[in-house]
Amino acid sequence: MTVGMHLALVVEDDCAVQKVLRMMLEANGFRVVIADSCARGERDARSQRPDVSIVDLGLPDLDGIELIKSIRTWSPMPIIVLSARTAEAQRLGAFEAGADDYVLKPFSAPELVARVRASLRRHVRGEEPTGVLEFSDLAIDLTRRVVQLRVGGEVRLTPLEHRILETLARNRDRVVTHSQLMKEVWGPNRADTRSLRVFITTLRKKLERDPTRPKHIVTEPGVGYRLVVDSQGDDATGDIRSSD
Amino acid sequence: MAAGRAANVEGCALARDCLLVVIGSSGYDLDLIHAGKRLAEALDAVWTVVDVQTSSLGFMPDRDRARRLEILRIAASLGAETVALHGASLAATIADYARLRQATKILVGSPTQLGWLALSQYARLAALKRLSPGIEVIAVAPGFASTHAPSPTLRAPRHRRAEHLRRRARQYLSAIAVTAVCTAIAFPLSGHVDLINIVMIYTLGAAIAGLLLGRGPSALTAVTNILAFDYFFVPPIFSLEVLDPNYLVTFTAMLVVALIIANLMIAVRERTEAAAAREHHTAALYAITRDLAIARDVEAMVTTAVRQIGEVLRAHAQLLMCDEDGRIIASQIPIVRSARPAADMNVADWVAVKRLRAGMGTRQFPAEQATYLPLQGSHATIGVLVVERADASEAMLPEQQRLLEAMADQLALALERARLAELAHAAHLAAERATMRNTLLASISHDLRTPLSAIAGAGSIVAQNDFALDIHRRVTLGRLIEDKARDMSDLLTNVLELVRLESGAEVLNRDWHSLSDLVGLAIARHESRLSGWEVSTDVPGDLPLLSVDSNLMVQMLSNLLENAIKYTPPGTRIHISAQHYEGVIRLVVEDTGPGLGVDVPERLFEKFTRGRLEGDIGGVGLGLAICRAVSRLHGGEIRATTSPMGGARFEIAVPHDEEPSPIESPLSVA
Repeated sequence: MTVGMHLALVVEDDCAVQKVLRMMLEANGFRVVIADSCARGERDARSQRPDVSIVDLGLPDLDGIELIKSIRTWSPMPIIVLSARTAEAQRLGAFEAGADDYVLKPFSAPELVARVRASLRRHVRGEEPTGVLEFSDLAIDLTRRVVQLRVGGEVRLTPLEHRILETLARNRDRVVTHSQLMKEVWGPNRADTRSLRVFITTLRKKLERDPTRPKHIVTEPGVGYRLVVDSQGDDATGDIRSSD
Repeated sequence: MAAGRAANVEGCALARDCLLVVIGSSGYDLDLIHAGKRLAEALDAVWTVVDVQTSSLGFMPDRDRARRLEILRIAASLGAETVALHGASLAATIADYARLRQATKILVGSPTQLGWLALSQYARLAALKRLSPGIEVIAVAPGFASTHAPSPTLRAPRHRRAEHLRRRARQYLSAIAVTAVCTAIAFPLSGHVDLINIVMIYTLGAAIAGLLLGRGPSALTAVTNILAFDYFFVPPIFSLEVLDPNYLVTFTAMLVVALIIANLMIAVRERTEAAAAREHHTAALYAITRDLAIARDVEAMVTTAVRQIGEVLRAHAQLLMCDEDGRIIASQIPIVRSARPAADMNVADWVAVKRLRAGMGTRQFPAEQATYLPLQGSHATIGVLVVERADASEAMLPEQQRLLEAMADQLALALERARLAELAHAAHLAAERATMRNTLLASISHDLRTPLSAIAGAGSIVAQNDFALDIHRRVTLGRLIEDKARDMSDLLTNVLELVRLESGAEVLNRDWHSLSDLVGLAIARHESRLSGWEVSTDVPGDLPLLSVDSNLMVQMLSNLLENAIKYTPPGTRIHISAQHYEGVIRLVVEDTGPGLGVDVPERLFEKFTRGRLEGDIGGVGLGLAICRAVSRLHGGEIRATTSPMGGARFEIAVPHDEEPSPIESPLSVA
C-alpha cells in the first residue's frame, strides 16, 4: 500500500453494487476500473493490467468462472469472487478455477477490503515459505517441524501433520481445497476427507488456543481450509522471516 | 385370489354348469378326467377334479400316492381346478363339497369289476345320488384303449420308479419278518400257554404291521400269520392240514380282525400325517404373516415372502411388481430373481390385466412351467407372483396350491398396506405444503416489508441534503441500514433452506465433519454480533466425526445462536456443549437469559410460531422449524427445555452410527 495506488478491476453488472464497490475501494486508496460483462472484463484485464480483480459470477454474457479460467491462463494476479451463490459446489468450482478468495453477497465493506489487501500482500510476498512462520501467539518452524508456543513451550508435529501445515503455509491466507490438500499430503487417489478432518482437529489442538474457535487454521465450509497469517489489517504479526 | 374364487362360485350359480370329477374310486381316473374335460368344454362349464381320501374301514386297494399326484397334475394341466378332500365317507364328503360349490354335475367312475368291490362301488354311487338331490350324477365307463394300460405320461421317471419298487419290496419283507418274529416268540411258549394266547400274539403282530407298514404288507402279514399259526401250532403240527374244522372259524376271525386293525391303524396314521402337514402349512403361513408385519418397506416384504414361498414349496419364486395402473413395470429388475429361466412376460402381463391365475395348475396357459398368481390390490393388481417348482415334474398338491394362494394373499395385503401408507403420507405432505406456502407468503411479505421500510426511511434521510447530519447520526443510520439488510438476508436464507428441506431427504449432502469445527463455523457467522454476549464452548476434541450435512448443521447452530442474540439481553452467557453417549451425540445450546416464555415448548418448532409475539423482534418463526427439520433429516430430534443455567436450553440428539476409520490415524504415525 505504500507503493503507489493499486488498480482494482471490478467485473459486476449491477449498477448499485458497482457504485458501492467503487466508493469503497476508492475510499481505501485504490484506483478502480469497472467492467459490466465477461468480455469487457477480459479486455480491461489485458489492457489495464490491474493488480487485483473482483469478479461477480452471474454476468450477462458468460459465467464469471469462465473469466477466471481465462485470466488464469496468462496472469497470477489475485482474483476475488463476489457472489450470492452459496452452494458449496459453486464455491468449490470457483476455487478450482483459480479464484483466491470468495466473498458472499451481501458483503460487509471492511471485510471485503481486508480480503483484497490480504490477497495483494500475499501476491507481492510470493510463495515458498521455508523459514519460521510467526503469529501473535506461536511460531511454526517449517524446517525443524516444530511449533513454538508463546505460552507452553515446544510442540512436535508428526510427519503428516507437518505436511498438511506446510501445504497450508505455502498457500497461506488462501483457501486450499480438500482435494488439493489430500493430493499434496497423501498423494492422488486417496480421497478420504475423514482422515483429513481428524488431522486438522489434532493440528488445531496443538496450534490453537481454543480449538473450537480457530484463529489460524480456518474452515471454509464445504471447500477446504485456510491458514490465516494476517489478522485483519495488522501487518506486524504475520511476517515470514525467510531463512535464506 | 379370494375374489377370483368367489367369482367362480357365482359363475356356477348363475349361468355356467359346474362339474365335479371324482377320482380315486376307480382304476381309470385318466379316462374320467378326459371325459370331464370334454363335457366341460361342451357345456362351457367350470370343472373341478376332486380327490377324496377316506378313512373308511373297507379295505380299499392301496392307491399309489405318486400316481394320484400325477393324475392331479394332468388334470391341472388340462385346466381343471384340483381339490383334495378328507372325509369319513366318500359319498357324504363329495355331496357336501358339491353343495358348497353349487355343482350341477358329478362325474364318477362306473363300477367295473364284479364281486364285493363292485357291490361297494354301487352302494357308494347310490348313496351319492341320494345325498345330492338336484345334482346329476354320471357314471362313466372306461374307454377301451386305456382301461388297463396307463398312458405314458403316467410313468414316473425310471430312477424314482426303481426306488419306489425297492421300498415296496422292503415293506413286504418286513411284513414277513413280523410273522417270523411272532412265531419265534410264540413257539417256545407252545404247550405252556393256551392256543388262544398264541392267536393273541399273532394279532398283536398284525396290529404292529398296520402301524408301521402299508395296506398291502399288512394284508400279507394277516395271511402269513394264519399260515404260520396253522403250520406251527394247529395239530397236526408242521403241516398245513387242519383236522378240527373249528379252527377254520379261528382263521377267519384272525384274518378279519387283522385286516380291520391294520386298516384302522393306517387311517389313524394318515390322519396324523395330514394333520402334521396342515400344521406345517399353518406354521408357514403364520411365519410369513409375522415377517410381513415386521417388514418395514416393500423390498423387505417381497424378499421375505419370496424366500418363504421358495422354502415351503421347494419352488423358485419371483415377484413382478406392477405400477399404479396394474401394469407390470416393464424395465424393472425383479427385486429377487432366481437363476431359473425368466417368467414369460406375456403370460405375466395377461395375469396382471385380467387379474386371474394362469400357468401350471390353472385353466389359462396350463402348458407353462410356472404358476402365475396376481396379487390383487383394492383397485389394481399390485404384482404378479411367479412360482415354479424346483423339480418341474413334481406336481403341486392341492393343499400346497391353497397354501401358496394364502401366502400370496398375505403378501398382497401387506403390499397394499404399504402402498396405502405411502399414499397417505404423500397426501399429508402435500396438504401440509399447501398450508405452509400460504402462511409463508403472508408472513414473509410482512417481515420483508418491515425492515424494508426502515431501510428506505434511513436511506432517504442520508440522501437528503437539507438534513444537517452529524457524523454520529450518519453512522447510526448506516448501521441501521446494514443491520436490517442483513436481517432480510438471513430471513431469505432461512426461507430458501426450508423450501429445500421440505422437498425431501435426498437434499442431504453428507460428509464427515468434526463437531467442534461446525460449532466454530456457526459462532464465526455471528462473530460481530456476538461481541456483547459471553459465549463459551465445551466440545471435546475426541468426539467421533459425524456424517452430516455441514451447511445444514451450521445453519441449525447459527439459528440457535441467533435466537439467543434476539431473545436475551447483551451480557447473557451462551454455552454450547456436546457429549457422546451410547451412539448418540448430544449437542446443547443454552443460556442464562429469561427462558422460553411459552407453556408448550414443542410448539416453538412449528413453522411461523414465535415465542413472544411483540413485534419489535424480527423473524417469521422459521428458525426453530429449520432446526427441527435439520435434526430430523439427520435422524435425530431437538428439544427445548429450561436450562439449569436459568434460561432456554436446546438439546439436539443426533444418532452416530459408525465410527469412521481414517486411512491413517494420527496415533499410528505419531
